Amino acid sequence: MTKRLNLIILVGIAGVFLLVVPLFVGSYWLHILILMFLNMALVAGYRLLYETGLASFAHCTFYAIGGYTSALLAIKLGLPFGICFLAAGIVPALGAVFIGRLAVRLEDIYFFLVSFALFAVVDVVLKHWVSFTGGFDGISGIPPIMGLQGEIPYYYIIMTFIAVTMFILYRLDRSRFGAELLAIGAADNLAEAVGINVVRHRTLAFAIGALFAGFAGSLYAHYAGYINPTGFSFWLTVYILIWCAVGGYRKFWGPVAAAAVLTLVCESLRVTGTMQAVLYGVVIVIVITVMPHGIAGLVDTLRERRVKAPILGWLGSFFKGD
Amino acid sequence: MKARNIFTWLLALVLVVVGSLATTSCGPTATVEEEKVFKFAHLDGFSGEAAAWAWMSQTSMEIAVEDIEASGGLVVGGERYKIEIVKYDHAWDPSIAYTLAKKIIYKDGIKYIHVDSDEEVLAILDLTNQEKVILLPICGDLDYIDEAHPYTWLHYPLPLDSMEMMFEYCAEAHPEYHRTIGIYPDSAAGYLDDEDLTEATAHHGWEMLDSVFIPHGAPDFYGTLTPILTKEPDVIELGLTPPGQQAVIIKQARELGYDGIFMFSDTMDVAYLTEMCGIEAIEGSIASPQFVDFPTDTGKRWAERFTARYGSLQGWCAWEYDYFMLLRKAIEKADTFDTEKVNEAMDEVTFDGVFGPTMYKSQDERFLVFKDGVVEIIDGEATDVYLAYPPRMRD
Amino acid sequence: MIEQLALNSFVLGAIVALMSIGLVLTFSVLGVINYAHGEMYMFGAVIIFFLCSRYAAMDYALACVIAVLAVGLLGWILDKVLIVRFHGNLMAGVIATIGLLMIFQNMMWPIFGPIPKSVPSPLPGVIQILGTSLSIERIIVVGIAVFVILGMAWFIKNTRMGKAIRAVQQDIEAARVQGVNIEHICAVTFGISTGLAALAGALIAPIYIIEPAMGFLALEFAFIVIIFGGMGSIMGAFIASFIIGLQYTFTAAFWGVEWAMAMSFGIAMIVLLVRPRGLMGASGRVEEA
Repeated sequence: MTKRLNLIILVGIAGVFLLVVPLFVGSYWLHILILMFLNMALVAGYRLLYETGLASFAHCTFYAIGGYTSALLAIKLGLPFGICFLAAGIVPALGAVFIGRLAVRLEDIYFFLVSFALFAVVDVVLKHWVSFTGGFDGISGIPPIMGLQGEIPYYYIIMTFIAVTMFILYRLDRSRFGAELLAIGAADNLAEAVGINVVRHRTLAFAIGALFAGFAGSLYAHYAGYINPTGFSFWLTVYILIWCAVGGYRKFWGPVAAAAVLTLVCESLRVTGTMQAVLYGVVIVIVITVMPHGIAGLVDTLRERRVKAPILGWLGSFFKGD
Repeated sequence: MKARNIFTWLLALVLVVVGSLATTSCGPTATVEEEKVFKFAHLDGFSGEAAAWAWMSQTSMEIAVEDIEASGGLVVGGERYKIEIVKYDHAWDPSIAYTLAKKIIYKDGIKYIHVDSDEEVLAILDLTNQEKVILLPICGDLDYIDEAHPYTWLHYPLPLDSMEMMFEYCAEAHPEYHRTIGIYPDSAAGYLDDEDLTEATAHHGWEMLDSVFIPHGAPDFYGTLTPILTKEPDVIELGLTPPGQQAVIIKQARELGYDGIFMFSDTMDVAYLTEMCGIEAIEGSIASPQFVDFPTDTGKRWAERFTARYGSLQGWCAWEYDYFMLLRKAIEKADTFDTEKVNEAMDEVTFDGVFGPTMYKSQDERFLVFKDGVVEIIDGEATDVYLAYPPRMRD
Repeated sequence: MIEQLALNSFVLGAIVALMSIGLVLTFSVLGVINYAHGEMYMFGAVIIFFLCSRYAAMDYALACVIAVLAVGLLGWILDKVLIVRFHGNLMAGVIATIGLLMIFQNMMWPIFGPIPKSVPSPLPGVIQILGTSLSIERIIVVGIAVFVILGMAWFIKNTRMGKAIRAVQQDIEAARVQGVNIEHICAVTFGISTGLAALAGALIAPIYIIEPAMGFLALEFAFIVIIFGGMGSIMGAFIASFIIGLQYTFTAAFWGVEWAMAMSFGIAMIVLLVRPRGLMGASGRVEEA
């Protein structure tokens, strides 16, 4: 059980590191880490449907719906945070089930376009149903969680949320359901033939992703105190898609790590001004060119070509099996 | 899942986090006193459709900085400070504005921010209020400068002010105009324009026939213009529509046979519109706030220098010059950069500005008091036709 | 008013058709959704700007030809160098072209500047027919659009290269067996597709305004057209464009232009849920993931 022990130690070290980070980092970086955590949750949920072969463009729509649900319940009905948070997950999840049942039957490219259409429609509704959503003014004065202020408490709250989310989704990935999702992604006809109900699995994956996106949205809303439709833009979903594909969806940690790394990279590049977006684009093009099937693909390619260089062999050995 | 698998990823993650933090330096940077530089944050949309406005503001502020340096510099506690305006681009996304505000306040340690526009102000207002950051927004809503937000000072006229000025002028000079339609951007600012036009037309006995909202990026207005032109307005009010779209609307409206005039309750960039649609298309247009000849020497000098730097005169950013000079006086009066003390001094200083003496007023709300101008295009020339205090400031 | 709206619809339909046809081609033949399609459109317009108003006063028609050839060549090179790795791999293609989108669009901010510009109209003037106004410019654009698209349809049907393209679209293995050089055909198709996008941009430059972000609109319309008209069919895309022109114009007139695009997407979404292959869709070439 040495591997198990190693695993625990490594997780422990990472955990301790993250726990003490607030001691030597300023509020700005804590804010960036908070955003990073939320992005990790978003992409981990997104991966569920992605691994079955369907790429959705609507993930940040669920994030937005979660944020708005939570904010509106808190402000208009004065409900306590706990209830708002739960509702923020459930509402988009139900929406996902409703649309998903029909949409997941589509071929992958058409599903992609339908989800894009869903994003566009919800976007316009958020901007124009002024009496309900506040329109462009958005919703301000969203009450903080339990009256807490400042980055440090939110950092811990959101970190806890991420830890729990990662744990749940990781167990899901290791379960039979997770294996079945991967199987669907590899060959959906075959999966169907073996008795896996593809439509049901995909809908469920879509809904679980929406659930956690909604939770994340709620946390963001109560943390920032203000949300507005422009903040949940087309680009956010694009980034989620990029992290998932670039990280390599076959492994659970791939997209999550990519999300974490790229969020930090993006923020660090901000000092370069306009060039930030150009550089980000260059990074993306290079990465996807070198690894068109994600990181898992790169490794398989390396192994196929029997790359002998020791360092590559050492790297490759990390990805063997599984 | 093998342990080493996770190990690699966690290690990579840790390395990147540490690396990023180390290379971009965490925590707040050196305080102002140590380096003798006063940093001022200009948080604006330097990219995107309305980016031109951000560059215009920046130009105006830079002229103010030059003048301050030329007249002895910013002197606090007996020491002279160099002024640096730091640009932050929020690309008109409020969530980016929020992240940048945190960077400005916590990482770069800057406590004076200029921000444009409404959505972005909303995103950062609670934060700046809490951290006692002096915020100088361009926005259209008095809610942000009320007692609950004591560190916010508005230096810019509301759309309502400009509309009322233009209608007052028309009452004397063009009584034949009284039917108007508003074409506004589909954004928070646009809806504010709409509310203000409703109020202004009611005040002055005009008829507001309709208002339409144009999404960001929409290039073709035939569909929008056709039905509204059948209502035969005298005036089409363009408010805060970005300059590119203004040009297309004007051009296409003329193609469709519109023969009324245009009104601009915010920016009318005469040089730009002339280039894009020809001066005949905007003959008779009325705009406020706008100036051709400033009434004071300060104003004339500012106009000359602005035109030299930017290429054309944009009268509306003259206030950025005035407020910057007032800010300098407030800081020197308080003799500290501590925002609480400077905040108290903000309404105790006056400056002989581009339109004459100007100062902040703060009873229920904190805003700059100034004369506003109206310009009309007569025979192909932009001409000053009216100069007065807007109704809101007349007391 | 209705006559004017109908006329506007027709004109918009033609413009949308020009914007979209390239994307349809790319998808059906290469199996790639080119997210940078809008940027090719933008390049066409920007080239016209630099040639016709700022640095040279070139003849407009000549400038259009240059724009089309230049961007077509760019597309051909891009395919040879980059896109070829992603043929048939939907997600990787999407991501790579999104990367290109970010590069192309953002590099134009410093080069072109943030202020939208225009070019003077080569054919100014408005004619009045039956109570409607129509600018001569737009009539020409419609004419060219119809000509080009019908020309493309003819080309695909009747010429050797066109048949090769169709072969690749329908059954790539069979085409390969027949001796068709797949990579070559794909590169040419991509070049044609980007050239068409640039033509759309070049023709539209005097009518709309030119700015780095103008490509988003073309991309949105192209997506809607693909959904309505199906991926593989040029005629399908053509008909769909006019339907969309009609829907957009009337929605804008009666409900407001802010709802027009959302309505297009909403209808598109419903169409897909009901008819998963689009209104007349064949599907394109996409590998099993």
